[in-house]
Amino acid sequence: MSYLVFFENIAGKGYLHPEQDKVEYLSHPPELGDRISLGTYRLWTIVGIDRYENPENSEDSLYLAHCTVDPQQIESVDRSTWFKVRAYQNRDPNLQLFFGEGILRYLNKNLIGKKPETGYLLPQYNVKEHTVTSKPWGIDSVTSYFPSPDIARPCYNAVHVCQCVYVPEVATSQKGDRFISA
Amino acid sequence: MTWNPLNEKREWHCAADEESYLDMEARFKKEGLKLNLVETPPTDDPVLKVVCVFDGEDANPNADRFKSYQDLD
Repeated sequence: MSYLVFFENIAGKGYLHPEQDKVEYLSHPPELGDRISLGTYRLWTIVGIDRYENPENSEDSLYLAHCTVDPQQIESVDRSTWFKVRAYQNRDPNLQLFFGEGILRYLNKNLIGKKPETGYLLPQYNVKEHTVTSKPWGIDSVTSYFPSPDIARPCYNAVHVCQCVYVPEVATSQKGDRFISA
Repeated sequence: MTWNPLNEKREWHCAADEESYLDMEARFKKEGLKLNLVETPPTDDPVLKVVCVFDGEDANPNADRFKSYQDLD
């Protein structure tokens, strides 16, 4: 059995690319105090772990591992100091993870409670050109996970895991963002 | 539906980190703009690491809100 784990910085700044989007399948659940690289030379420490459950199958769950490189934050377990807990107050945040052929292709944080819908292509934000185009991946299915009741202050009200299919001909046609899934 | 590249009415800007989108949102509110932060996907860019997507009455996908006054002349 393997566990899907999403690693996230508890601060809203001070991270390097690509430390903002690490996911892994682990053979065991993450543990507090574990040290891990998020894709660069630095080692992060896990200071919080949240379990999210699939309400249709209690055996099916995933984990969010909240990480820090700040020595002061390692000693503190006060979630009210975490950036996301502060920033997401009075919002309805959900985390969206999009997988294609087992690899994370895209992720999104929606702050108004909108869930991804099947049949749409993933967006590609082109920073230098300031344009939006489509990735050649379309959403085929969505499985939703909700925070375990024992989490006092979850960062996200839901995590949506989307399985995507490769549809390059639709993305290059530029006819829209929809595709027909079988 | 949340997104359509051919009919995008939402406004988006890039920021160096997640904390910056709160500053951006506060600035827009101070200027009286009716814009709500709705999504924050990360980018592949090593400097501008996050996209801030805004929706609302004043959302304009072509808005140049961060150009200097000299550039606008």
